Amino acid sequence: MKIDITHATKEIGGSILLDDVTLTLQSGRIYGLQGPNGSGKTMLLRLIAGLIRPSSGSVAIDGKKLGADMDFPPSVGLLIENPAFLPNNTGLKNLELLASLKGTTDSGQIRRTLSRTGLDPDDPRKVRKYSLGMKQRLGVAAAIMEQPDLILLDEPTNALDDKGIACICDILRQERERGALIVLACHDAEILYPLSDEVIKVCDGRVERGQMK
Amino acid sequence: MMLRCLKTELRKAFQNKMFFCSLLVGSLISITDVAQNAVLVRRMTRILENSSEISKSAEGFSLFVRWIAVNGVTLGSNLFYFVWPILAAIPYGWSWAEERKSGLYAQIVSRVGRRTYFFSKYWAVFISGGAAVSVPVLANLLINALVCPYCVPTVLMAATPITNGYFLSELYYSAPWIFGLLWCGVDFLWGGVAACMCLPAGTRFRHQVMVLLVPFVSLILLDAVCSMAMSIGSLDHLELSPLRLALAAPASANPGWLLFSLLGIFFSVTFLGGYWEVVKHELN
Amino acid sequence: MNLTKLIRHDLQCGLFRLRCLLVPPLAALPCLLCLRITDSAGCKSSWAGYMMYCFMGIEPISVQDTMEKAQFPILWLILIIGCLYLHLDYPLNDLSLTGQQIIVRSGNRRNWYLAKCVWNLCACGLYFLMVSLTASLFTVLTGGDLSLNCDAAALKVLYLGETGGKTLPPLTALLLSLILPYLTVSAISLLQMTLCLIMKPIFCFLIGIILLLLSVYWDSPLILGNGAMGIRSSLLISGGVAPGPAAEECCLIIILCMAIGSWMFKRSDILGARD
Repeated sequence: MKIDITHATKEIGGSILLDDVTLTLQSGRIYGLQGPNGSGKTMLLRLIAGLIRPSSGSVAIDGKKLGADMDFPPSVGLLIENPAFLPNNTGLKNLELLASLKGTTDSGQIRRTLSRTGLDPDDPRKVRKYSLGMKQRLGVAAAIMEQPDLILLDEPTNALDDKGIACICDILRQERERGALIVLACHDAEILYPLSDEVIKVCDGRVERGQMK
Repeated sequence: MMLRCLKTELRKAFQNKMFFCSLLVGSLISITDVAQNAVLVRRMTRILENSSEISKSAEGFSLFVRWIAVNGVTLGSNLFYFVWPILAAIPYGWSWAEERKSGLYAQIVSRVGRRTYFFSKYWAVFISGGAAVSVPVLANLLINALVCPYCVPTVLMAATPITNGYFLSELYYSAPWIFGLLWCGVDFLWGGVAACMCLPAGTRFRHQVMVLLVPFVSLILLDAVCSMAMSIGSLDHLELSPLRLALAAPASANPGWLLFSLLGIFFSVTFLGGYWEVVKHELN
Repeated sequence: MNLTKLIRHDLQCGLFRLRCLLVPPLAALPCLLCLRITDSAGCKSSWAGYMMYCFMGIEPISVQDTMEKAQFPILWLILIIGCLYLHLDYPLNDLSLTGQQIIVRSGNRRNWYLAKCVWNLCACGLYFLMVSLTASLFTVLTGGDLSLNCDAAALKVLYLGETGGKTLPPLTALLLSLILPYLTVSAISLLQMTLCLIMKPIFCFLIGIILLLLSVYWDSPLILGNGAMGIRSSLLISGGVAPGPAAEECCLIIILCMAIGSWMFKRSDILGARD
């Protein structure tokens, strides 16, 4: 998979959230987005996910333009902002409902994904009883369970303890080995730099390619 | 501390887009009523001018018969007194639910305490809701005064909607302007208690819109039950529905004891319910 | 992704909700009143009679009449508004909380929106089914005729003599008691859902109420709401609203909402704002 963002600008209500962003992202790599709060990291993730349309410029995935040739990337898993689920279902039931939309993932795969993120697939508790960290793990599980080619994660280590952070980092490395393209926004440089193949700095909606491994 | 917190809450309640949206919608409905009255007054005036046989009295379409809180016939009047619980809730009814969801609640109570937070929130919601209902009613009275002829209502008038047993009925016939202003005050109280119904409901719904609709849905259901009770039982001489008690001249009598008893009940329920939810209930 | 999968998902998650239990009490109110009227007149209402009473409505209110207070069709309004209220928030879930996962997986914004439209139509269908079941319960409990036959006596009592002693054919009764109200409510509900794409849901709900109140005042077939008032139908009174154009108008609005809504949704940003 190859993502080409060409001179993408996003303006909402008179303020420019993304300013002339040009980037090329390749599969099998982890790209880290680093920048201060409000710099446009989440907006960039939304743009790649197809949730927002650029005011000018374009986003192309394998040569096909988002918004014109397709509405969303063909195989994408995402965790943007806070993970939100149906509060009265268990974690497993929530993932099964999501997976039923594509029908490409069986129950065994979902259970394995839950175990990978450190959650018990047979946990009878409803999601409303989950702690913040458990919800975060479930959010990551939802993003990776269908083994998507593109994984977009916004602060995936929020509310996680050290063990949880290590677990998520391991998962991301395994997903990279599988060949997925991962874009990760994280404010913690200690997590972002060792994990990323390339760090992209975002400031006031502009991007600047940074350190490359 | 309490006063400072109340000031902050009032500022938040009155300086937000939703308050102005509610006032705008209420005022538009109010103006619809004035427009319908203007058409009626013009038509009736022409009839009176051209006819020599009938009485030339303008009492039937005078100000205190056509005022939105009294007429009960125009689209503006029926619409306003149907959706007023929504208009009351829009300005600030959403605040407790939103602040709880966003975590701002925890930030504030850690500084001022739960009780202070609740009291200031309750009064801010009450006052903003009351203002959203009473301001369009008052505006309607003032603008209608530019359109409709002014006559002091007389008991002999067939069109007079307020009769014996209605709240402040004597004042209506002797000092209608004072009656009008006092009724705006009553509507302020109704708007306030309706808006505060959002407080106990704040933790029950995921979406802001569902919280805002709690007063409307509750009052409309009560209205249906009261209509049934009034038609079946022997209480048809009393207006029991809180939705219609906001009207100065509902179909049946609205004595003061009934009006204030119901207001008191609603105040107690919303206050105690809100207190339970905001102060006593565990933060989750 | 397959549209049917999205529809199945929406029906699975958004059709049977706890709040559906509100529908029988809502429908029971007009049924109780209908029972009381027919009882006092010494006749029995059939299922069609109950249903027609639920969606009877009132004659247009005349503003010219300065002497009398307007009779407000509160039970009719509650039945219609109840449907709009129950279906207001489900599409918002997808636009805000859980939904971004679903929208992205749908792969196609148009399909996502169309699935929501189908869900809306089905949810309105379920609402009417529950109203029908409540009316059936009343019919059975009171020993009435569980059929579409509507005898002239009951009709005369319920419709205050407006029908001139006519007996309604079953198909007409079905049209007035179920099909036209369903189409009207579905059209308003879809309109509300489409408007939610451009404004706050509370104001969309207000617009729905304003539309209904406009129809209380004016019996123009162009105003949605008239189709759901049996008493104004040309099948019952001369010079009333013709059912054909009313149904066509509802269908047109449903199709327009689907088309315009999916076009708008294709171009809108999903920012994850809560309401």
